[in-house]
Amino acid sequence: MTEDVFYIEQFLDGDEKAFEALVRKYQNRVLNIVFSLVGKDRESEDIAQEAFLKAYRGLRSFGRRSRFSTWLYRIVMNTAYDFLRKRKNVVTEEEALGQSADVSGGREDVLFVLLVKEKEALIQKALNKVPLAYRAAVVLKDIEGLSYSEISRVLGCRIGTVESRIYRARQMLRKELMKLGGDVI
Amino acid sequence: MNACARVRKLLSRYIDREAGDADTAFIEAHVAVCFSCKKELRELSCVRELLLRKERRTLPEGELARRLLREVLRQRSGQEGFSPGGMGYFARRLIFLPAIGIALSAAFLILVPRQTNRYSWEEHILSGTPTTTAMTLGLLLGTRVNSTP
Repeated sequence: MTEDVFYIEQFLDGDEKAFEALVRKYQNRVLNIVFSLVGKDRESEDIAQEAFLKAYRGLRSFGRRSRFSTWLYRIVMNTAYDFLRKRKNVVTEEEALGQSADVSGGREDVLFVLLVKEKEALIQKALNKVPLAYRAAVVLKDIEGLSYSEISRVLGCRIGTVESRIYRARQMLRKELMKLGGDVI
Repeated sequence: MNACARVRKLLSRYIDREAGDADTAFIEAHVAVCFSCKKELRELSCVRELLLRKERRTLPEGELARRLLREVLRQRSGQEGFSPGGMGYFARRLIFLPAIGIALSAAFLILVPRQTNRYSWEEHILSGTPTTTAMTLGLLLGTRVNSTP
């Protein structure tokens, strides 16, 4: 029995304190996923809290057909999507590609300078320019470290789709980083 | 599909170490001779590295659980019975403090009359008898339980 299953069973047996253990375990993972999607500290914390609240209310109906983390991340994604839709901060793929600098004309070394300097704000700014579906896939991969099959279960799409979304997201990020990084380096 | 197109299709899997042995061997053989695909691999690996190194946010231990507790209670005050199985754990924890207050007040009301049923506070102090905590509390609050012997 995994740790999560143990806590869930405790919760379902009436020990609601077990849910606190789940929150403690996942709080920073959830926060980092949300922050990478949303890019604002205060709002990210509120969204993370809202997602846990939904999980708290829904845990009794969690059928355990998937892992708890998969189920939780799905809630997190939907909560973040809802927030971004309300904020009308949705970038389409066409917009992302249209706004970005042409790779062939960009400075190739910009990425490597950014890698050395670790320009945190620029990386987040570039992420915000990537359309949500692509951003979600690459965040779950590179920020949370999920496998392709786990990402496909969280996002409810095929592994092939995950693969192409991650590829496209990284291409868009490269273009955006070259454009943003080229301005400051 | 030409070799470059096939490599591009597999590149994400390769970068994320999810490609099979045959695909890995094919990509490595190809990028060794193709400048364009090698550049693509190098740059996308660099983007991945930037994300891996991206600063992680952390909240103090248990911070979100505490916020959740407050939120559950706030919602419960406006929407009775929303939590599964009646009053939730988080809600119970917050009403714990007022419950302690009520219990202490009850203990005070029971204990103080027993210790002061013969004298007024003034007489008790004048008699020089040691004063208990409960009696001191009563004095501070101006309670007069039984004024005459």
